[in-house]
Amino acid sequence: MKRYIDVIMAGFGGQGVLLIGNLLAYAGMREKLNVTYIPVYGVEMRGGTANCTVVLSEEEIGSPIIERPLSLIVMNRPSLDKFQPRLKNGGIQIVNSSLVDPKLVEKGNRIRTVLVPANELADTVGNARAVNTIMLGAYVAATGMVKLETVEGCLSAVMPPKIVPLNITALRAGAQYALEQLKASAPVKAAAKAPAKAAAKPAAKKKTATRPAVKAAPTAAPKAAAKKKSAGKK
Amino acid sequence: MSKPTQAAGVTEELVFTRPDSLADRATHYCPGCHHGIAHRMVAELLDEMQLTENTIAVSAIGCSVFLYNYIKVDTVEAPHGRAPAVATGVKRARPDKFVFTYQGDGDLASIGMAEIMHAANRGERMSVVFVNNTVYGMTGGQMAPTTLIGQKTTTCPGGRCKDREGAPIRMAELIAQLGGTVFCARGSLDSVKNIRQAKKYLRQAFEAQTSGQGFGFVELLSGCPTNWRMTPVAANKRITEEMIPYFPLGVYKDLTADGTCGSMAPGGEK
Amino acid sequence: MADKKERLFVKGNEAIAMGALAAGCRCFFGYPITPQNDIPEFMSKAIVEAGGEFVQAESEVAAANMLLGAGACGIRAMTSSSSPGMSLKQEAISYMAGSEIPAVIVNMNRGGPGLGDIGPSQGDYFQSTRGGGHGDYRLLVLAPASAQEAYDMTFDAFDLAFASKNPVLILGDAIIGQMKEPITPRAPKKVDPAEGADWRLIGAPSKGKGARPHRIIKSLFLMDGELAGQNKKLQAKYDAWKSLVDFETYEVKDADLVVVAYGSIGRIAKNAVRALRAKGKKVGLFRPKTLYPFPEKALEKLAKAGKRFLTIEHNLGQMVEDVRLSVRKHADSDLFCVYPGNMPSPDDFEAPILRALGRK
Repeated sequence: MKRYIDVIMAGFGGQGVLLIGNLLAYAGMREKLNVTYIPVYGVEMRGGTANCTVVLSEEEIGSPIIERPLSLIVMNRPSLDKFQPRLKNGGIQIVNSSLVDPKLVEKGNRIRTVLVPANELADTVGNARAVNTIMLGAYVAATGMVKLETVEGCLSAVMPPKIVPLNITALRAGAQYALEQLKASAPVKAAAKAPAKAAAKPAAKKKTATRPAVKAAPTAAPKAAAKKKSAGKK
Repeated sequence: MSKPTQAAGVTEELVFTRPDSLADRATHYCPGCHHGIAHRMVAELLDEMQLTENTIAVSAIGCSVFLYNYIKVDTVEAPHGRAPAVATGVKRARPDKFVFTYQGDGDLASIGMAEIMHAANRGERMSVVFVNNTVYGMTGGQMAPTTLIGQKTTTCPGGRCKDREGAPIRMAELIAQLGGTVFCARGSLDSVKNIRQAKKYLRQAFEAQTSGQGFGFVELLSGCPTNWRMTPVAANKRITEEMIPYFPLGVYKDLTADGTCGSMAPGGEK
Repeated sequence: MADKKERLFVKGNEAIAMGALAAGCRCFFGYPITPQNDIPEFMSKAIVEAGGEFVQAESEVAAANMLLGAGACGIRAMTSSSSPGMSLKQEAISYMAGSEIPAVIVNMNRGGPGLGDIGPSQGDYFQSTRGGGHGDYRLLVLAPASAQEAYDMTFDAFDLAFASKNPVLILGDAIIGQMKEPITPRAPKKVDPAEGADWRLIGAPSKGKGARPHRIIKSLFLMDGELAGQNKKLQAKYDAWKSLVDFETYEVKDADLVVVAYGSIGRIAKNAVRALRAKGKKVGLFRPKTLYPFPEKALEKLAKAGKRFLTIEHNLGQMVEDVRLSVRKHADSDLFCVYPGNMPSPDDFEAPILRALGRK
């Protein structure tokens, strides 16, 4: 079975969505995969929604544009509205629960969602702007398509060396969070390592596309806590 | 000029000769047309400044479309109005060559308005010879941007009316305002005195290029007896009495010497 | 296979600019228009660093005329634009073809007509392959389907332009321009400083070694028989291009139905063809890489072998006319259009391909 994944990453202009798309592509290239990356551009970049599509494949890539992706990174609510319905059956999405009310996430077994409170996690690691790399770290861990170390090694290709260490921390924090979500089976966890701001994490239905062995029983999300948390963010 | 020669009891002294850069052929221009004079001035200067062999000219569309048959320099033909852009390409490609355009008022001030303004503004190291006869010559006498108020042409048969057609454009004044222009002047070809002065202006414009300073522009008021429906003498008179008052002669910008900023029109009118 | 370690990850637009620089392009004249702005932006820095000239012209009209001027002097020069700007350039392109001036022109096709949109389309196929401006002339038209092809075709375009003293057109689209892919760059060309010495404008010495009469580069031919002679000369040139025909085939040998598609659509159609082959369907892909000269002989050969054709293009039916002309003695071509304004998807192609396959 040849390695293949495609992903649409979406947010608003300025959330760094294009940066993490590039980053994932570089990582794919470094791991000797074929890659394509295509951003939304022009008029749509001025303060509107921004998104990019990345395809990683062992085989020659045909279309760089994917109507129905296998995976998503969703940074804000309009992006959820736009792309969640397009996610392929059995696909996986990483959703920024700091900005997206988990109630809006599609229920049922059609797709799988990993909710990541990326804005809070970014604050936790001391880099409020690293929301995008948190999300990418979570994505990489959840999908396992490329190694996290590869992504870390590619950071300098997309950002100035000065901020690379902070972003490594962010990548790892996001990855760790996602892994914990994947392992979690209890409905309510004890307070997270993060300080008071981060309340109980909502559990997510999870099963990765490329790790059939990892299973977690769907658990009910502690909705009250989640609502309080996401309400506190813009 | 050559020395007097002796042959069979007759003394010959050559007092007037064709510039080397000017082809030995009759032109196709109308009687009384000033293109012949303008071509000659350009050719004389190319000889005097020893530029001929290093020149690439850009010819334009109008009666002067056959410039390349008369001035013996490597020449590329530009589409109507685009000569300053073509010349930009030439000069950027071959910065060590002397590059000039030769354009009429329809070519330069109508369809080519954007190209001339921007070449001047960029300060392209080129020289522009602008022959203004207030009419589209080659195509039979239509109104031009420089047609005077009240002047009758085939496309304003009742005479140019400010309300309908706007006022004539004064190009020398316009070009002088642009940042890249180093030398800008207006001369006239209606009299010997003015012709001599016009040639001096042309030389200054050429020198603005050869010294590497920037854009040089000279407007030459010229006649078109055929399309003005006048005799050549009457046409000359029209330049003196009607055109010069509206298009004053003089230097509108000269940064070549000591960097002084350009003056207002010598006639006092802005 | 190229060593992947040396690969650069660039947009198609950037690949085009890099290919041009590597080929010795030393003048670039451009104007902003989506979706090709990466090209002038890249050039504004890179070509200057390489010792060349960059001008953001006042309009696409002006840029095309600057190209004409630089080309007349024998310098490798390029301009780029997108559909509405290409319409503006047609006058200058006609003049360049008529005057026999070499040049490289890049069109990143967007949706039209008019202002259209900023997405991809193939609506400029007619404009590109039928001259585009007034008069009987043609451009050599190359259609890349990947960033690597965009690089390679631009790299080769300058040699081709100078060999035939004619403009060469690189026809991409918004997808090809904006998509990032790994490319392997080539070693920079050494351009012969005497390139074009027998026709370029460089000043006419009157004595000494290079003494010669002055040259005139023009497209005006008024004397009896002159213009007819010039046109004959141009046509002979275009006939000679037939040796430059290029295309890609995929699984056509035993195919019953051949999908014909170029550029980004060709690439996307390959996905659909591959998926259908996996289901046992006998389909193949024919992807022209030169749109002019069009690979008519190769298509005719396939038609003679009994295959049927489905043209898929991102317009309302343009290349299909050339496909039909090519196969007319033996076959016809069906057509599936992706409307400009819509995004192409391999999922959309399966049904039309199966329909065409099922038709007898």
